[in-house]
Amino acid sequence: MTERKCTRCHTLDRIQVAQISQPHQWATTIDQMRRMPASGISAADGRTIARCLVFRGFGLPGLRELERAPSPEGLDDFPPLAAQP
Amino acid sequence: MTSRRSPHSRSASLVIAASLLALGAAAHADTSADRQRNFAGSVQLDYMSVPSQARARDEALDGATVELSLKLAMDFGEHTSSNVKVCVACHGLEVGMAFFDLRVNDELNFRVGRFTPAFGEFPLRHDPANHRTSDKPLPYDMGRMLHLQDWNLGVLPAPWVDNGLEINGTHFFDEIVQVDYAAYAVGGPRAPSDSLDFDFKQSRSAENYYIDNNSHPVLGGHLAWSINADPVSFQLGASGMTGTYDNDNKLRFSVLGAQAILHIDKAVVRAEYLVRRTEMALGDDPAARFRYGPGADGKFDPYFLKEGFYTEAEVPIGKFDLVARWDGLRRRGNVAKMSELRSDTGLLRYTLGGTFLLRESLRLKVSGEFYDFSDFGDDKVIHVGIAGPF
Repeated sequence: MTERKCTRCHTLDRIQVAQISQPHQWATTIDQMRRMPASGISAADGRTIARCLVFRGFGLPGLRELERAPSPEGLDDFPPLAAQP
Repeated sequence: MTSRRSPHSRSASLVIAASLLALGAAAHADTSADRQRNFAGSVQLDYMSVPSQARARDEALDGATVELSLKLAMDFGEHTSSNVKVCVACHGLEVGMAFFDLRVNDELNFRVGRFTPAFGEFPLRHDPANHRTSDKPLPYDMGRMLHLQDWNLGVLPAPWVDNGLEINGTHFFDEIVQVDYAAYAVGGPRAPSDSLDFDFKQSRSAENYYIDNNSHPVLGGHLAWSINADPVSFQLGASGMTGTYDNDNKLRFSVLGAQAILHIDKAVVRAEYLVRRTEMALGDDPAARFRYGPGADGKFDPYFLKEGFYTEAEVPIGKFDLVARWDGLRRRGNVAKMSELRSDTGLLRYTLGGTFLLRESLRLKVSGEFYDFSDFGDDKVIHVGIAGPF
């Protein structure tokens, strides 16, 4: 999903080199991208993409940190890891 | 002596005043801002070759060109952010973005400053690191096409950067259907009082960089509707912009655009159409000014119509992205006395190309183009470039 949605406007390279230093920064960035015209990224998609990129960049500790931090308004709260399918 | 303001101008002022109030309210909501900065950029080095000519500078910006962009995004919290982007390209140093976004919610965002107003789909991907060919589709061409001066570029060169206010938003219905809108008032294109077309150099000249040449904003808007049913999604959109462009606020223009985009998994097919109707200054002696005589009614038509389209397909295969594009321009209407264009002239271009991921974010871009002119000899162009974000 991340590949399909994000490449509508930019290449995946943009994600590879993004200078994101905290897990929560991914959530904020994706919330902004979600609001781009015809992004095709719904709130649920945004949560999934954020989790994917945080896990890729920060591993399991990053996902836990993402849950603890307040979510961007548009993405709602991230459910605890145990509740994830 | 006082001048009366037009209802058009008064309405725009009221909208701007109301918007600034809303902006203040939205900004005030971000009291506990956790500030985040994000720096990004991209660079493209392209070599454009016209094999049929040893020196093609008279009709194209051939040879090597570099485009660099540097962008700093700053979040002040949930409702406020700012973006500043500078570009170094053919025009030298340009401010491509310098705006604040003040968001009330997803459906209502106020953008104020210098930005690219919403028009069509391509401008969202205008950064060279975000699109697969070295140049842009002809309707949005900003200087890479052959005979760029004869044609005075495309219909609406991208990125069209202007100063003003945009109200935009997006809404999802059932997470499947997305509707986006934007409405804006910006300075608009510029040109001297006796012009026959936009003077794009004025839009970026130091003299007119921060001011509206005729003190009247142009108005525009964009509406897009998309269905996102993975792995297939489809988007339709329409755009418009209208106003005056000359110093005396007399010469009118209108631009309309339509877009249709189809995504099938990672492949995409895009099509856009733009049309611009532009009023020309007839002057005191049109017969001396224009190449072609008056119409059957004995009068000179002060308008010309410029149309542009492109349709392209992109298919990613591993480290390769393949691109095939067909685009064109058509211009109907009188031309300046010295112009080589006919009163109904056209250009079709056929492009095959691709990118190859060299390493990390660095891509090799190669494309071949065939130009089919109605008024000039056909020609071929080869682009070889390297581009990537950082």
